[in-house]
Amino acid sequence: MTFKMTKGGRLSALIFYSFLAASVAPLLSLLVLTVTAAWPYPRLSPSVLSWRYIATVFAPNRQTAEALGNSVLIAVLTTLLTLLIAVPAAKALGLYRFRGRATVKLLALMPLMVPSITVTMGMHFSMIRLGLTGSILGVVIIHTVFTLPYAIRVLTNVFELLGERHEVQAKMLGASQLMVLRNVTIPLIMPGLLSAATMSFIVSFTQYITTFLIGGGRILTIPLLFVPHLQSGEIQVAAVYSWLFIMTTLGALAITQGAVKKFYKSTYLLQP
Amino acid sequence: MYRRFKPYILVAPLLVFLGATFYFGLGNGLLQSFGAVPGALESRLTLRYYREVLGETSFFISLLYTVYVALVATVVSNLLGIVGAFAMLGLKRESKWPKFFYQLPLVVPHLVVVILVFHLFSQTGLFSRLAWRLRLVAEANDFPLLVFDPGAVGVILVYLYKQIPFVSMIVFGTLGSISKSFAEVAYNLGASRAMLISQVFLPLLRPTILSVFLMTFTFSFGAFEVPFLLGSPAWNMLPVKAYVYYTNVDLTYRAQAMVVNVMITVISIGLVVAYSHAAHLRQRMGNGGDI
Repeated sequence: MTFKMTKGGRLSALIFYSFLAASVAPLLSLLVLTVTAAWPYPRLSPSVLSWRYIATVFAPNRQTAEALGNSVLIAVLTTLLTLLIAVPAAKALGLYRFRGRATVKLLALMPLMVPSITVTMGMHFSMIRLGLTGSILGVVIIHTVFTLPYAIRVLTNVFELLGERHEVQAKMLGASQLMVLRNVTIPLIMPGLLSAATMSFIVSFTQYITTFLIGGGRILTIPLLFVPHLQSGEIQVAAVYSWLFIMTTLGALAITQGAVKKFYKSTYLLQP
Repeated sequence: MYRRFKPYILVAPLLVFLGATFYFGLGNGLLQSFGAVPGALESRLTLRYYREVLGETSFFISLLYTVYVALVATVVSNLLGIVGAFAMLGLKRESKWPKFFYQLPLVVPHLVVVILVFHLFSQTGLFSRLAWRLRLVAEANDFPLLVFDPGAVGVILVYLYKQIPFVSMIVFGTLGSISKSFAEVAYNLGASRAMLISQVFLPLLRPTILSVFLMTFTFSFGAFEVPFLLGSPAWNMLPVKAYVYYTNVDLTYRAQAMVVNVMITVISIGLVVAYSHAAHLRQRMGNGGDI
């Protein structure tokens, strides 16, 4: 039996769809902007359309390819480093009751509560001393600080729901540590793993000030390319970068969603 | 023996990593706020920079301004977000795609939203053109300044765009877990829709709303990019103030930057601690409303 507030259905729909329109319409308007060559005030629609700005952004001298390559590389490396650290820690936090567990959880979630600019400025000097500024590795490290809390949160929940019984069973049946990891643990946590990975990817992909300070201007990413255009009011170029941004993010999401679906189809375990 | 140490071995990489980066950075920032800026200032720790920064009225103006922006953004986004969550609950059909698009702002980066707001609300933006069409303004300059403005409307609009769906999704998640039978019982007892919401749902939602409020507030309070790009040049929010100090060629200003950063951090963490304390207290008094 389901309970529905049919009386308010129409009002609900009105509110929901106007909110929806306010979310989506500006993005579509931005899409128009990417193919706009001239849009004089006070016209409500562009007077001249052209591919010029899209062509400008992807022109070889624009470094767009380099920035996109760097952005993706950094986001992928950040995701890998994040998972490498977060999976074992989340397993401990989700499965075992041990002394200091609450403290570890708090310590792990702290980067969510402290503004990124504070931490980045504090780490800046030691990064310089270690020679990590201006390097991909340095940027990956600073991004990982801010992706870890999300990954820990998601994966801890996954392990809590899962419990330890599957691993114990596999071990009792004679599986080695490696076999348990490869054939039991990783498949079981795959959906959580993928959602943690997507989040890490997006968080890393959209970082600006951390990349700017630690990259020292030498590591060019899409946000770094795009902010100067925003500041100088070249809004069409900025619009093209925006859509590049959105498409890459949605692409990453689609890949993850696809992977989750494929995973569920291929296995009988853990039907949601 | 191994079993006893296993959890500690598993969390070790996390603690080592965060210790060497985040906590080291935090400690380093704290030391710098006491004047220990490598290669620039005195070797003895001093409270001089706290006195200097906190002694200026401009710091308190910045603080109040930051609280104003963060509070307006948070209150409005939470109110509208909750309304959105109830609207989602009241939808007749379970619709997957509309819900997907409703969440779209969550994956749109802040930097892109900055452009959206600029495109829509600047003096030559779409709304200004619409106002011209409606004969409300005669030229672009008549349109009120909504970006780079002292009222920080542009900054607030960016946070609203991002946070309303965020609040909606979290509140909707909790609403979904509240047993339908609560609503049915109240309904059968003759409760009106308004009573159902105010007497049943809102009290049950209180812990969720409080924690979402806090999450959105601390974010708007400490975020740098949006006020940096869309804020008024004359009015600095605290993170921007820290950045301005930090990028000064004179390295001694780094101590001041860190003082501002320490203040932001203390306020953010203070709020979280106060909240968890209050939540804990409420729970112990058996009045938590948690399900």
